[in-house]
Amino acid sequence: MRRRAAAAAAVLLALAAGGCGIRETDVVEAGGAATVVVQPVPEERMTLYFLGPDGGMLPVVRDVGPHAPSPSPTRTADGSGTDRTPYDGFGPEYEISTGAPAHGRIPTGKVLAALLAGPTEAERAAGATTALPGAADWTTHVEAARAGTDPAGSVPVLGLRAPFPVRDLPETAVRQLVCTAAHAEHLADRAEVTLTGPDGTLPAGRCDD
Amino acid sequence: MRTRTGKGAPSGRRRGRAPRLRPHPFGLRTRLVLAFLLVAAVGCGTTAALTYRAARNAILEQAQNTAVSAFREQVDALYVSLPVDPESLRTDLLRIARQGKPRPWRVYAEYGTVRVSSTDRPTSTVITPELRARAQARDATPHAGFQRVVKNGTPYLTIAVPAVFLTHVEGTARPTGLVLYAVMELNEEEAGIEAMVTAARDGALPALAVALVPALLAARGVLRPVRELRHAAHSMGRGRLDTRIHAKGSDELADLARTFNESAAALERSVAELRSAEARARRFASDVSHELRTPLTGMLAVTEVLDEDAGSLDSDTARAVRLISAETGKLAVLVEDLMEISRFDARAAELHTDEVDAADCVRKTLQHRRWTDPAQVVPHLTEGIRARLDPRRFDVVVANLVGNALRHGEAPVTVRLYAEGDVLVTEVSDRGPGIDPEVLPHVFDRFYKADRARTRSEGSGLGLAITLENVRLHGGTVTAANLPGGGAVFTVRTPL
Repeated sequence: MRRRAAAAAAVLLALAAGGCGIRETDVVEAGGAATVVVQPVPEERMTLYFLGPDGGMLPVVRDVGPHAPSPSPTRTADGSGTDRTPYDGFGPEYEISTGAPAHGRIPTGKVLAALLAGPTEAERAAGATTALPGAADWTTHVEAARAGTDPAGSVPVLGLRAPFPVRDLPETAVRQLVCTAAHAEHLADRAEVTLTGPDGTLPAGRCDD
Repeated sequence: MRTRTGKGAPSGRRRGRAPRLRPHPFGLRTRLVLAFLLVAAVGCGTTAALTYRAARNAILEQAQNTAVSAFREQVDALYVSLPVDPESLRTDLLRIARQGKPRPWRVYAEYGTVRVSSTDRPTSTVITPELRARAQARDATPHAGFQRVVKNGTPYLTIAVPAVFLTHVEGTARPTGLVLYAVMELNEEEAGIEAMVTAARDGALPALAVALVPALLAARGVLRPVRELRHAAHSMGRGRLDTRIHAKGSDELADLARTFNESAAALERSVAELRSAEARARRFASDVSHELRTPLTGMLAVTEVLDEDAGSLDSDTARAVRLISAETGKLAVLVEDLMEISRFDARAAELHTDEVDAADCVRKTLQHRRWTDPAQVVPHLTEGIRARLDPRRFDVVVANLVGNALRHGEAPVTVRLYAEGDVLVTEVSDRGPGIDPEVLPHVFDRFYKADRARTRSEGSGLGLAITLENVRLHGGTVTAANLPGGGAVFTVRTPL
């Protein structure tokens, strides 16, 4: 009887001791993320994926609409080149014309060229960096070729052709290209993007993995 | 239930009171009270604890759910540019901070290396790395999360909501890299929870006090019959064999009382039979001694005459005549002793006390028996002790003890008389070999022969028994013991 009483008292104590006050918790998942509105509207912007301080994708949105501010100088990853202003000098097809806003979307080639040119001063200040190689000249660009859908017809497929070797590119650099291209093509995240360079073709990658 | 005792009960010699009830530290009452309190405490405690837990969780969950959904709603309404503009974002954060639900909170935003907050400091020390890691996880579908943190004794609710944006009008949601955090103190919730603890305690203590009442009632219900049974058993032990208990009810205690009554009745019958048998035996001894006395008186008169004439008879006849005379005398003493014992047994012996000088009494006894030779008897008598004694019976006591010492021990026999407090002590000791320890407990028994071989003792075999009865009649005691240096000592203690 005494042992049972002791057990009861122990249970009581445990209940009392274990239950007092507010205790810490682990991180508890609570629903989805919040959807914010990013300015400007999608038709008048291009989204570039640079790298955040932690190495993850950091999206940057540039206004390319009619009321866009004058382009800011950008800098490539190696930082060797002088600051360049990605307004002119992308070649005849790649000028970002203020007078001709995209009817629907900005040409992907121009977006990729802007990505290669690197983050602007303001973007660098916010922690954006790029892992892509610095463009040796102003004409370096990535060609985007819509390849339609895969044989099964369910997954969009996109091919990119780069003038620089791609086999030794860091994974994050490839992801920058893949995400920016998929985004510019208005493709879903599951779009498969292949990157081809002078030294071969990389296996298809997706932005969401 | 009451204990009742018949008025004709033969009471014991000592009329002792029922011993006082000792307080039992772990008696039935204590155990019952403790058991009731324990049950009440377990009941109250468990109920309070479970209620408390449920209520606390409800309070916290409500606060958390309100805060998380309110915060997500606030973040949902944000317009941002990427990279974020710290100035405009700060304005937004200040607005969100004011609109915190259920209470204002502090809001922090992180994007790349940009840190913006609604407070003076850009980041919060309360936000844990785990929460940050969870919010910044590069999943395709990031999730909001919250965590309760206790820092410096203050509980905080920290919420992390990652912001996503639509890539195009009908596009998919992609992380913006922007994560917003809200930090809210849970002081009010804590105060509410503590109020619940106080309420639970304040409710439990009176409940425990209330539990005492049935505990004491139950203890009383059990203890009262037990106490009556105890008194009845004690009363029976004192000789009141007609003690009975009023057994009422149909519980185990009533059964016990009935069993007690039946046993008491059986015991009473047995004892009554034994007593009547004993009384018959005593009456028989008394009758026999009375019947013997009359012829013996005649025989004694004849033997006295024969004794006187013995000198003129021839030697053989004279020896026979003297033997008959001596044995007749002994027979007369024996019959006298038997009659005396019978009177004691029949409780017919009466004490005729008188205030006398104890030393005088002893001296007279010694003189009457002609024990005046200092080589035989040495008196050490404290003079001037006045005692209430029956002189005749005290004389018998002293004479029997001294005679016994002279017969069975060796001279000189020492008689001491002194007062010890309000007790008169009479000591008779001899220089003999003492009493065999095996015999010692039986020296006051009737006809007990210390020496089995010597069947014919000079005494009647009743001397010490009569001494014992006389001393008891005085309300005193007599004990026999051996002296360390040899010899027996008989000590009589009588109240002055």
